[in-house]
Amino acid sequence: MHLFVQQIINGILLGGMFALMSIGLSMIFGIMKTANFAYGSLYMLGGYVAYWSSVLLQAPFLVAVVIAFVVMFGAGVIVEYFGFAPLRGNEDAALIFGLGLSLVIRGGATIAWGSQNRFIMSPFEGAVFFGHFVVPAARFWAGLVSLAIVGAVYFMIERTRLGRVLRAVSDDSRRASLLGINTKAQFCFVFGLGTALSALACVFLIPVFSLLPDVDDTALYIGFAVVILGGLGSIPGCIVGAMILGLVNVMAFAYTDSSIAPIFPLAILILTLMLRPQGLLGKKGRLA
Amino acid sequence: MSGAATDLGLGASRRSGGPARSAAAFSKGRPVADNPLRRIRLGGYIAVAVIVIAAPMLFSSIYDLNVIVTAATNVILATGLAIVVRAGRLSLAQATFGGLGGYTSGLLVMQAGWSYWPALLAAGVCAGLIGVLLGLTSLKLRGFYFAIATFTFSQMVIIALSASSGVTGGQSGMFGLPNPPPIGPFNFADPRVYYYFAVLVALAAIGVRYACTSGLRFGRALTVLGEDEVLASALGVPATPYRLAAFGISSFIGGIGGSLYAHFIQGISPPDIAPSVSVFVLVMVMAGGSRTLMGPVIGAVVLTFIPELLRASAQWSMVFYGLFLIAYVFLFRDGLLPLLDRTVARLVVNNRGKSRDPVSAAAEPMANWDVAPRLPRHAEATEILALRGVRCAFGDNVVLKNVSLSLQTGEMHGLIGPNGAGKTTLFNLVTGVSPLSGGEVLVRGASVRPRPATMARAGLARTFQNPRVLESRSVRENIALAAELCGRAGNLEYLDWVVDVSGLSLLIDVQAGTLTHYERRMLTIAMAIAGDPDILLLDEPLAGLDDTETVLAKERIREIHTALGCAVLLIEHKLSVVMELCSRLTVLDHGVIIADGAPEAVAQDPAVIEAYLGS
Repeated sequence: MHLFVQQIINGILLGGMFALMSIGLSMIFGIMKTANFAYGSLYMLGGYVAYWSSVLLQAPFLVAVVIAFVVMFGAGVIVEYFGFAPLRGNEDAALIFGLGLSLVIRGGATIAWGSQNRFIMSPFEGAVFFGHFVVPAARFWAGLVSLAIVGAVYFMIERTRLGRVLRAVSDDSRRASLLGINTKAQFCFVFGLGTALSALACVFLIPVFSLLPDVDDTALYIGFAVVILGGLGSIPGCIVGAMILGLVNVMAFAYTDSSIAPIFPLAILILTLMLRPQGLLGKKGRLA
Repeated sequence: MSGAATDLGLGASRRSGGPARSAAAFSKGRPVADNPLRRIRLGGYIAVAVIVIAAPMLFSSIYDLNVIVTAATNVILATGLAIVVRAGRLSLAQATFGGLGGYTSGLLVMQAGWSYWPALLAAGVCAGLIGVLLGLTSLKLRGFYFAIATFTFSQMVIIALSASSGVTGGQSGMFGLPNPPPIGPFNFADPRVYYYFAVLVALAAIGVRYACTSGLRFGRALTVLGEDEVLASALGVPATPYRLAAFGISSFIGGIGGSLYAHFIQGISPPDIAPSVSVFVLVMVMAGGSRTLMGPVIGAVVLTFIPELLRASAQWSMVFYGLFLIAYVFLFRDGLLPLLDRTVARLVVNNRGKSRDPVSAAAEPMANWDVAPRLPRHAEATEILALRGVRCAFGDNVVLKNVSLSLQTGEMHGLIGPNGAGKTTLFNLVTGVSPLSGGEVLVRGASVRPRPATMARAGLARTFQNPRVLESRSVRENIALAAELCGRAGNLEYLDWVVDVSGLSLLIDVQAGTLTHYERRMLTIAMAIAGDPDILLLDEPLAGLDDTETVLAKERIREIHTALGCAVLLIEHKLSVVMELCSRLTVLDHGVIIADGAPEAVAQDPAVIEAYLGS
C-alpha cells in the first residue's frame, strides 16, 4: 500500500513535469493551430542557452533562467515571423518546415556542443519528506513551477484583456484582424511566449530529463501526446492529459516489465487518436 | 466560333437554321506544338537510363557500390511512400514498414528456414497487412493528426521489437542475415548483381506507382482524392477504401524495399526504423516532387548521394537534410524535378511567359445543337428521388425537421428559402455528407442510406456553393476525370456536347485555377453533368454572377435540362430565375417546409412572403 501511494505521488509529479514540458506547445497549437514540429528542438535550445549563460557568464540559476526565457522568446518570434507565418494555411508545408528546422537545430547542437549530458547547478538538491513519503526536491520544485506556470497561462487567457484578444484570434483570425487586432503581432507574441515557456521548462527539468541534443525528441513527443490526449486548445486539458500520461508511465514501469512499459503511454495516445481525436477536453475541431 | 462573337445567341441563333454542328473541342485533343522541351526531357531520361545501367562501372569500389545499392532501395521506399502522399496523407512510418519487411524476411530465413524468395514476398505481404490495419484505425485522421498517429505507431513497433529480445535480438537487432541465394549465374554476394536486382525491383515499384497515379482508373481516382476529397466523394470515389488500398500497396512496397536493404547489409536493428529515418524518406518524396512519377526517384537518389559526396558525418547530414527541407518549403515546394523542368524551360523557351489567351467563356455563343445527345429517357414522370420525414441534427442543433420532398423525373424543381434555412444541408444530407438522423431517402422508390460514393453511383450529381474544381489541372482534365470517375469515360461525343453546352470549348486547355468565377461555375456544372446524371443538384449556380452572366448561365442550365431530361433540384436566391426555370417550388425556412407547389401559387403564399420579408 505504501509503495502504491508512493507510485501515485511519483505519477502526479511526473504528470506535473509533463504539463510543464508541453504548456508551450499547447499554447502554440491551441491558439495558432500550428503543429510546431520544431518545438522539441527549441525546448532543447532553451536549455543550452541557460547552461551556457551559467557556465560562461557565471550567471546564478535564476538569472540563467531569465536569460533563457528572454533569448528564446526572441528566437520564437523570429521563427514565427520568418518561418511559420508565411506558411500559414498550408498545414503540410508548416509540418515539413518544422521537421526541417528541428533537424538543423539538433544536428547543429550535436556538432557544436557534443552529445554528452550537461547539468546546471540547481538550487534544488536532496529530497523533500512528507511523513513516510519521499520526493526528490528537483521533481517537487518542477511540479510546483509547472502548476504556477500553467495557472498563470490559464489566468492570462481566461481573465485578462490580452487573453480575450488571443481567444478571438484563435477563434477566427481573419475576423479578428478585421476588428483591428494585429493578428501577426499576436501570433508572434504567442509563439515567442510558448517557446520561452518551453525554455523555462527545459531548465527546470534538466535534473530529471538531463540536457543533451536528443532531449528534443522526448519533449516533442511528450508535448504532442499531452496536447492530443488533453484536447487541442484546452489549458485544463493540458494538465489532465499530463497527469494521465504521468500516472500511466509510472504505473507501467512499476508493475510491468520495463522493456515493454514505454508502450502503454503510446497505446493510450493511439487509442485517443482513434476514438476521440479531439482529446478528452477538446472541442470537436476541423482538424480531426 | 465563326464570327459570332457579338451574337450571344440566346435562343435566336438556335432557330437561325444552320446545320447541326459540333465544336468537338473535347475530342479534338490538344494541339501538340513543336516543343523543344519534349526532346530535352527525352534526352534527359535516356541519359539517366544510361547512368543507371552504367553506375556499377562508374562507382566500382565496394564503398561506392554500397551507396548505389542503398540509393536503389531508398528509391523503392520513397516510391512506395509517394503513393500515400499523393492520396493526401503524410505518413511518418515508411521506414518502419521497411523494417517490418526486413524483420519478417530475416526471421523467416534465419529461424524458420525459409528460402529468401518466398520470405521476400512474405515481407511485403506482412508490411502491407500491418499497413492496412494501421490505416483502418487512423486513415480517417487528416494532416498533422495522421502524421502523429503513424509516428506513434512507429515508436510502438520499435519498443515491441526491442522488447522481444529472444526473437528479434532486442535493441541490438539481428545480424548475419544471409544474402539471397544465387539465381543461375547471378550471385547476390556480388553487390553489382544486388544493385541490378534492386533497380529491377525499383522499376517494378515505379510501375505500380504509375498505375496508382495515372495509369489506372483507381490511380486517377486516388489523385483526385488527394487533391479534393469532397469533390472526389461527390464524383463517386469512396475515400476510405481507396486510401486503405493505397496505404496497403505503399506499405507492401516499403516492406519489399526494407527486406532487400536488410539482406544487403546483412543486419537490421531498431534504430534503422526510427521515426527520423521515416522523416528522411518523406523528405525524399516531397523534395523530389510528390506529384511527378520520377520526383521521388530523383529525391531518393539526390538525398542519398549528397551526404556521401560531402563525406558528411551523421550530424552534418542531419543539418543538411534540415536545410534542404526548409529550402524546399520556401523555394521549390512542388519538388526538385519540376524545378529542373521549369529552369530548363526558361533557358530554352526564352522566357516566354505562359499567359492565358484573352478568351472568355462569357463571350462564347451557344452552339447550335439541333439534336440533343440523346432523347430524354423517361416517357412519363415518375418519382425519382424522395425524402420522407427526414431529419438532420448535429448534436442539439436540429437543422432539418421532418422534411418531405418529392422529385419527379425530368422536372426542374426549385428549392428556396432564406439564408440558414437548411437548403444546402438538405443537399448534403441527400449526398451523404451530413448525417441522416431520422426519416428515409428513396431513390427510384428504393430506400437508400446516403453515402457520397453510392449516391454518385446511383446517378446523382451535385455542384457546390463555392465552385470546387481541381485547380492545378486543365478544364479538359477536370471534365475527363469527372466523367471517368462517374463511369462515362469513353463517350467523347457526349463530352464534346458537355464542353459546348457549358461554353468552355475555347478554354479547354486552360488551367482551372485561372478561370473567372463564371467560368468556374460553368466548369462545376460541366463536371456534374459529365457523368450523365439522372438527378442533378445545383447549389446556387448563379451566386456571384453579374446580370449578363446570370442570363447566360440561366440559358445554359435550361439547355442542359432540356437536353438531358434529368431531374434538377435547384437552390437559388435569384427568384426571378427560379420562377422562370422551375415547374415546382419548395420553400424551406428554419428546417421546415413552409410551402410547396407551382411557382405562382407559392409566390402568393402568405407564409412565404412573411419568411422572406419578415413580419
